[in-house]
Parts: sequence; structure tokens; C-alpha cells
Amino acid sequence: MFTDCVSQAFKLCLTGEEGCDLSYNSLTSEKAKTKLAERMKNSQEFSSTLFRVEPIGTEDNEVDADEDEEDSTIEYDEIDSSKTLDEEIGDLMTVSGVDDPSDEGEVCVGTDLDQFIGYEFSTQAATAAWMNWNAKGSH
Amino acid sequence: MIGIIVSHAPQMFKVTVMRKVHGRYLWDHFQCRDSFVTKFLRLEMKWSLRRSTRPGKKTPDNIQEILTDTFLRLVWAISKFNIRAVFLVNSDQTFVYYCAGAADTYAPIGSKQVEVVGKDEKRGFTLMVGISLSGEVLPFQAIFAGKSKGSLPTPGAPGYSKATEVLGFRFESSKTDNHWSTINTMKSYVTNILAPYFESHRKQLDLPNQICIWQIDCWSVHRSLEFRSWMSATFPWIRIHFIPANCTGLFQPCDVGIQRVLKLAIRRSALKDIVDHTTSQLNSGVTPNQIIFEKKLPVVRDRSVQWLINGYEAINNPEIVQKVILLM
Repeated sequence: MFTDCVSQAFKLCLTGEEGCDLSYNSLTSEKAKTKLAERMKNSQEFSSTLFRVEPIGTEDNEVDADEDEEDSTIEYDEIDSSKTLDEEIGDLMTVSGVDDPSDEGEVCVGTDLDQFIGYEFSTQAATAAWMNWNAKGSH
Repeated sequence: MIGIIVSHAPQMFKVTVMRKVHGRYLWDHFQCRDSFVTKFLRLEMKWSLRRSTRPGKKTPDNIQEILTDTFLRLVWAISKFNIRAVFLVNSDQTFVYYCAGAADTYAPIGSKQVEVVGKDEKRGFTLMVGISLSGEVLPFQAIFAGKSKGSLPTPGAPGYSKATEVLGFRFESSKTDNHWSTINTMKSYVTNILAPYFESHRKQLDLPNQICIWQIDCWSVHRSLEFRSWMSATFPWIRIHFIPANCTGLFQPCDVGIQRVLKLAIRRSALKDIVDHTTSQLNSGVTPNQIIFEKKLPVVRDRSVQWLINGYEAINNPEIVQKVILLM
């Protein structure tokens, strides 16, 4: 079945219990309805919240809308801008257990290395220089 | 870095490397990734990355119970009001930087208490993103700091007509000195984007009295009595469902699945503008240490219109998703 980014986003919101996520299939499943019936039967308090629309808690680190922009803290989003959209969407679609396609595991191999002509190296030296450099200071 | 390599050593991009992607080894070409730049600056320039951060949110201890109850409230509402997937929308705000990497700076290794350079570089705007359970992406609302139309992208900005007339984006000023969404911009979002989206589907499906669900987080304006009272008085047929506080990273669909793709597309579009500008300077004889990055607010604000279009198309493009699936 074809799944798009948006549908996948809902599906990735998991309660922690198998088969319970925010996809339409899960929200309308018999399992979900059975679970709802059990919860309503066992908790009057829960049942009373169904008709009300109430916020649940307050966010930590909430930014004050009146805060001066100059004083506000920057939140780092850890987006690797060199990652391609295909890679990012691929990560999203594979749900879990995806290897990070960063270049930590990038290794120089193959005869095409001769194409590397750094302007202070000869073609041959460039290959060796690149490989030596890339091997330095690895995390 | 990319601009300098393109100008002085373009052959570098032809170096063949082996890359591990999704568990498979693929032949690929060298790419100037963030990790490469970080390593180059650390090894060659002796610079280390300094980053300003804020403490992470603490997830509640009884997280599974909280999320399960939230899930069951949605199950109940969907069943009770016979809600189809098009009638449930999740919206979330995110911040878009004009200057990529504005949270970072580099300083010589060993130096202490480094200020993140250029507070003005953190300038950006708030983007309101909405997605429906049926897979649709709603038009964006972008909120800019300022009190007049002069603080908005101009009609001459690249992509402006497409953004406003075709995609239905709304560019609005916050009427304050900062870019944060206010109760007025929230009302505008509901009136001009959310309600029309629901109305069009109610009309299309001939369900004029259909109840709809709007899922949002517990941000102060959302949970304010003033906003909730306005919602129930103006749009009583739109039920708000709150995502429990400090659970947005787990239970906010926009946060979990959309913002990273969207932000990456925006970031890459912004970087392309920088690379193009750098390359054109180098090609006209400017030396690398004399390169100037364009940071004038009106210029980057106008550029941001096209970034948003690219971001919207990245998350709303079944073709790209299909292509990725075929690659996997």
C-alpha cells in the first residue's frame, strides 16, 4: 500500500502499545474500540473527560510570547543540511532501525579516485592525501 | 565551503566513496556534509563547534498511560462523530531561520564562554504547518516580526504569486517586535486556512454539519481561555484535541514526521542561495576571505518565499516518496 509522508507522520505517533498509533486504521480498529470500552468501564474519571476539551499540562521551556527576540534562546534543530531529501524521507518511511547515512562510515575506494585533483596535489598524491586526511581524527 | 570547492576544486565532488545508506553500501560521490565541514574546521583550522542550546523537555513518568488516554479520546471522538480522515488536522508551529546554522558558531579550540556570533543572524519567522489524517498538507501561515506590511515578503519576491495564489500561503505580521504567533494570528489561521479546508471537504462530501477535529499542542496561546472561548463561539463544530504537554516529540504528527523533512528542504534551499551567491562572487574575482554573505533582512525574507514553496512540495509530493520507496 502506498504511504505518503503525512500518513507516515501519524503512524509514527505511538502510545507504546502494539497497534495503537494515530493512523486512521488504528484509531478506527476494533482493538481500539474494545480498549476504549474497557477504559470507560473501569474509569469514571476518564469517561468524564471525553466531552470536555481541556489542555493536558503545560509545556516545559515554553517561550514567552512577550519575550524580546534578542533575549530568547536559540533552539538547535540538528538538521544535517547535506543530507538529501530522499535520504531524510527514506529514514521517515523506514520507521525505525535505520542506519544514519552520515559520512562517518564513508570510505574512499575505487579507481575513480584518480579523478580527484586537488590543486596542490598530483593525481596520485591526492588519492593518498585524501585517504590519510580522512582517516585522521575520526570520532 | 561548498562555494569555494565548486569554484576552486570542483573535481572533489567526483571522488568516489562508499556510503552506508539504510543498511546498504552504495557507491556515491563525495558530498560536503556537515560532518565533513566540522572535521575540516577542527583538524585544519583548530576550531571547535559552539552551540547554544536549551534544556530538553522532561517526558512525564506515566507517559504510556497519558498517551493511551489521548489515543482513546480520539478513538471515542472519531467513533462518536463519525469522523473521516479528512476531518482531522494536526497543526504545529516551527521556527525557520533565515541564516542556516544560526545556532552555531566556531571558535579556536580551548577558548571558553564563546558568544554565539551575531544575534541578528538568528532572525527568522514562525511557520504554522497543518496536515490532515488523510494525507493532505494545508497551506502554510508564516508569521513575521513587525507591525506593518513592510515586515512581510514583497509581492516581487521569487515565487510570491505561486505561494499566495496557487498554494494559498498566508504571510502575516505578528504586530509585535517578535515573530511569535499571537492569539490574533491563531484566529487568522483558523479563519483563513483551517476552517476553509474543513468547509471545502464538508461541501465536497455533502456533510454540512460534520464535526471536525483539530489536534494542537498545549502552547500558552492554544490553551488560553480566551482562544478556547473564541473557538467554541465562532467554530463550535471544530473540536480541539490537545496533545499532552511535553509529549510533542512522541505524539505530535507534525513534529514526529514532517518538520525534519520540511526543515531540511528549507535549509537546502537557503544553502543553495548562499552557494549561488558565493560562487558568483568568486567567479567575479572576489577572494574567499572577502566573500560577503547577504544578510539584509528584506533580501533574505524575500528569498524565504521560495524556500517555503520547496518545503511544501517536499512534504506534499507523492512522487518523491514513491521514488524513495522504490529505492528501498
